[in-house]
Amino acid sequence: MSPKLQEWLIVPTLSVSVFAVAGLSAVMLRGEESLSFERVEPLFRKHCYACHAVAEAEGELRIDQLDPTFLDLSAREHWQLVMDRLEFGDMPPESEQALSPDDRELMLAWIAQGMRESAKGQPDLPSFRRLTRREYEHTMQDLLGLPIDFAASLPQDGKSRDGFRNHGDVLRMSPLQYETFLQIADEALAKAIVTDPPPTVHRYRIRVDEFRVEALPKPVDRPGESFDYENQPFEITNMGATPLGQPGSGKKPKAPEHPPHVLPPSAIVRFREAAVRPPESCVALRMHQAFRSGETLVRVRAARAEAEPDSDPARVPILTVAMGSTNFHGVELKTVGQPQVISHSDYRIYDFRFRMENVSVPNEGPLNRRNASILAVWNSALGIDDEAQPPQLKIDWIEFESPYLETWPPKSHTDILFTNHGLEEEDYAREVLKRFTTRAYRGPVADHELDRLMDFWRLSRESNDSLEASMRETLSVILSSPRFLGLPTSRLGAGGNQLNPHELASRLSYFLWSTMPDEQLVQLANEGRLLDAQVLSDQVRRMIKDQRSGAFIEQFTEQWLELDRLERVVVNKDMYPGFNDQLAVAMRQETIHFFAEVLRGDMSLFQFLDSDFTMVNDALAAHYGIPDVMDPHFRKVQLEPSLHRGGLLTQAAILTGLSDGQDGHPIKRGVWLLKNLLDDPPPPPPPNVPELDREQQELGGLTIPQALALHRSSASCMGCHRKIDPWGIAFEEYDAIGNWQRDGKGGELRAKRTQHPVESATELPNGATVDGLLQLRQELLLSYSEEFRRAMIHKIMAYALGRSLSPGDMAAASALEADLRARDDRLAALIELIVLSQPFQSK
Amino acid sequence: MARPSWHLDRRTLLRGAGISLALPWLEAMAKAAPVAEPPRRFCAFFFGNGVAIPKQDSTDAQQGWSWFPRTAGADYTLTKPLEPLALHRDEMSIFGGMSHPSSRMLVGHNTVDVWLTGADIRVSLDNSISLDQLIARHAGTHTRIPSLVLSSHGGVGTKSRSTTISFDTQGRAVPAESSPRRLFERLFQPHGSGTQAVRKKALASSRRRVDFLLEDSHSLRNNLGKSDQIRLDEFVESLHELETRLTRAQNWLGKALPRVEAESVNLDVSPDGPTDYIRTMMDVIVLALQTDTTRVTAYQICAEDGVGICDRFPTILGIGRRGHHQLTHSDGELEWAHYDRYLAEQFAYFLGRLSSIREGDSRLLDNTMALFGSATSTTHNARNYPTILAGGSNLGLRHGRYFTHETERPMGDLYVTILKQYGIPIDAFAESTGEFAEILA
Repeated sequence: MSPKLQEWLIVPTLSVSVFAVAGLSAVMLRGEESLSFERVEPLFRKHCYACHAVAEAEGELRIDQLDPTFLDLSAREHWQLVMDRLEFGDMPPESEQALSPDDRELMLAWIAQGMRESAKGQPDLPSFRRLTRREYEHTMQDLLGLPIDFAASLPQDGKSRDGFRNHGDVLRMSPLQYETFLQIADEALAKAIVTDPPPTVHRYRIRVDEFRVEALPKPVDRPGESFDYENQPFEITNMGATPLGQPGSGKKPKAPEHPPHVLPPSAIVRFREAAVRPPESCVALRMHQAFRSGETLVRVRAARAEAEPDSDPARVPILTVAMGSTNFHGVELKTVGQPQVISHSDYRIYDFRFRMENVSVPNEGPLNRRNASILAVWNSALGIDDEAQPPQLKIDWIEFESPYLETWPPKSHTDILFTNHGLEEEDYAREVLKRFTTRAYRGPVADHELDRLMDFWRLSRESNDSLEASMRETLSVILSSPRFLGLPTSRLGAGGNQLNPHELASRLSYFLWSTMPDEQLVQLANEGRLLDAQVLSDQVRRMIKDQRSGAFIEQFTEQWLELDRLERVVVNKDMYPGFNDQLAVAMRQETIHFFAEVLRGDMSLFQFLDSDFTMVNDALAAHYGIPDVMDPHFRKVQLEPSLHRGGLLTQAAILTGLSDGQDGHPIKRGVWLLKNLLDDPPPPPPPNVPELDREQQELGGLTIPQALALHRSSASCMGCHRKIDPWGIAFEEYDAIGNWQRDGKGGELRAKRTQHPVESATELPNGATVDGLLQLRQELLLSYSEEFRRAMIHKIMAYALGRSLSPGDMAAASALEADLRARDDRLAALIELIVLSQPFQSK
Repeated sequence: MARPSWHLDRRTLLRGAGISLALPWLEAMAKAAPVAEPPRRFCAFFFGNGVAIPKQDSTDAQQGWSWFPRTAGADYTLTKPLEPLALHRDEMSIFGGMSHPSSRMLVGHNTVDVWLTGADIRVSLDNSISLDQLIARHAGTHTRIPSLVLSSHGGVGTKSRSTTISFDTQGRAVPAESSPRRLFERLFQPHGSGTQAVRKKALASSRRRVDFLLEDSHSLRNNLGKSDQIRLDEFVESLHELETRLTRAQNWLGKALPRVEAESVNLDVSPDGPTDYIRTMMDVIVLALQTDTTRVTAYQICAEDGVGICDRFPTILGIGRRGHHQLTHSDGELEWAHYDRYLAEQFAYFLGRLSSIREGDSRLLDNTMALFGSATSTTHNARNYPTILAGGSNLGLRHGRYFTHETERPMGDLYVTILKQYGIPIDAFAESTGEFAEILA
């Protein structure tokens, strides 16, 4: 396919959906009669060939040369394109002879028929796919019982045409990736199964006030000798309150006004060096030794400093702990555990547990102050400018213990190499492998497969000194097998196209949890009861309640709504001084928490279009102007009309992600709504179309609606933009970071940027006129609920199946619409219906 | 059997500046799979702290000391700092306006970590694989040593001021060798039997695993439907490639090392004498390429931001009284520009060595791409990386021009095109937005 044509085809998902919805109906209109190519060929000749059957064909598309039998993929893709344009109505162009509605329908019907026939010829849809990065990580963690970020060094998975990262066609495998999987398996097993005596343990209490390090004695009930702090070359030093001056400034930072153990609110800041700076007020302990692995415990004894009488009682300090490493000028820090609200003025003890593997560690090589481990503790309450009485955090002491050993060998070891009650080594090895493999391959393992593993183990045992070492080597091939790294469905055995119970357990588990099935699912699969519809429904409800469904919630929400756009927008900080990393993170979290609330609260999916609540934390509440939210935990808040919020459309993550960093972007917003909420994406723009540029000369003095109208006046743009722009204009009341900009804070910011009034009145393609998002939300609920319901079914189904929907999937999806309506459009019910649908239960 | 044209004649006595070596038996070359063309090599040379670019309002004489030429295209005039490269003008290209997008706003010194990787290190210094290591993954299986990683300071140094420019498949810094003697011993003198045994055992274990996994995949394949088999094939192909790599690595174990006399190189050098030191490092690189002991090298000549012994090079050379980093903060840019010229002289020495060595019908330089540059232009500015790509006419490069870009272009574009010349199927590198097809013949 030519590159130019390819550009037009980048979003072929659109094709599939348009085809199924519009195309099928066109065929139905004509009854089921079969249309011959001879019947439609004269129509293509008359209406298309003038431009698309010549050497320099428009769009490099030669319709006269397309295979009318639809046999190869390329022909199908090209016909799809033809269908899209016919369906959309911008071809043939207005400058050419008009195509009568009947003829258009006939041409569409013929293409739809060809597509359908060719799809019939390929009932063998691929279902095998590699685990995604996230699925691999969760599965490794559950299988080995080690909460380590195993996938950190794996490359990000691609996005499918539908925007999902769990679709089989984008989950590729390369030698480089396979090699990385092998390395990760080796490193993971070296941690899970141990052969050495317990490592020495670093245990210290650091008194913050006078800065004193005390080595703690070894607890009697736990393994591992204590490191000899007094006599070994290792020390812990205090980095000081603001240890790092801005390089080049030459200025020394101001001395802190507080005693070292009293911390006002502070935040990690980005600066022009790589990595970040520690918060200005924090206790930063530099460990002149590299901690690189192992479970670690940090305990902090903390209290809230006595509040002044006139201070705001809702303002509380937040205890936050982060671990990382120093580099030349900055630090890399990762928050560990959950930040804690400290609302009491008596000292209490808080525990933070984490794995050292999950934070950044110093380079190999000599350690010095620029290459050391660092532990930072600070008060992460939101900073408020010129606050008279900021909430202060008092730290009495910090305890640090690494590695934190509860038993030796660790549980990960004894879970795999269970106590051998008198079996011969060979029989024991077989039992170990059988148990492990059954879990790793998510189903029973055939005897001959086990025999092959035993052959491997025997060879390995010959060249290894210990059983443990040979087991590591053998388990590493299990962790690198396509049976573990992928999700195979067997074509053997009875049941035809139906998934067997274990395969179904896996599909379900990877859909809702992004990890392997738990014991209960495995048990039900073993008993064959999982195929029972009632049992399956009960399991879906259990799984949604389980916190592991957070994996589905986060990934589906992020991929469906393109939340990654938020990371790519460069917000103009001069125009929006309040915008920072912390707020961007909170924006993303709001949308994810909102989805979780609708799902777990058993609410209707129409809450996405409009709602009287949202989910906020301190940073986001401050952004939205919602009072009395003073800690970083998200909670449900009622939305008053004066806040101008409700549903997804007004959420800051969406509005910001669909801006250019200076203003809202009506075209991005319109396309996003069509694509994700109505599943009706417009075709991609033709190549070499300039972006709408607000600073463009000829647009000078025009308002956005005027500029868009000018844009639409060009013939090549009009076709699509008359469909896109009206939606986007309704968003104009919200600026580049989602502020309501008709009045208040957003209004003030807008006044500094432009004198144009906000114009958000628009006429939708169905003829309805709306002004602003409130009316748009109402109109969506009133007139577009069918489209939105259908879109939700398609999106979740495509994620659940791990593929773009086939015509067969589409038909099954249509059948769910009535059932879903009957169940009050509850999101959780939709999940259940999809799991019970035939495509989900088929290979 | 026809002898591949690039094979070295065992009786050939190779002569280069200050060294000579006899090649009694290059088993590796004689027994390597017969290939029609000479091997493709890649060498990267990095220097820290950028280059002198006089201010807009300075005099013509001062402008002549700018690193970058004044006009783009084929008719550019070599500036004073680049004059030492005049001899190679037609076999090199100069690039302006190239940089890695995500680090453009950072203080330039940090970009030493990402010069060859293009990773986004604004918040965390998690790195990704470097260009040389990516090439080595492909080219490295054909040689005894996949790649050489060198720096004048050695080790890996501190994150954001690394003293290596190489990062492995998982983005971890690859320690750099700084001693020419240790390097020479590693390349040309037999390992202790202990190391050999450990390596042998590790390779055997890897081989056993890959063989098992291939067998496992075939057995799984039989259970799958046809369209699933096609997806599984990507696993199988990947495993086959790993198997080939392991076979090659195992084959090297028993092979004799090329015999190169230690006396042929002046190994008694130290960074206290920068010129001899840098040139000896280059000589060993040339030896390693020439004997096909490796095909990929990366050498950090001087580190960023006053780190390491290399900061003292300008002082020792009498170019200025201040260290390299201080030099780049000075008002009088002439001293700095003189040091730029000094570095260009060393690169010219390397190119000269490569062009003096014949490989059948061509010269070693024709079969080697040599990338020379820094990841900052002037002081602390992480844009407009000074970049020269030389050699590689047999790898499809066409030289002789100075490329400029009005708006910064992703460095990844150039890397994608470089990678493709090694037959590496890759469409994107870091934040590339396309390819740099302009350098292709």
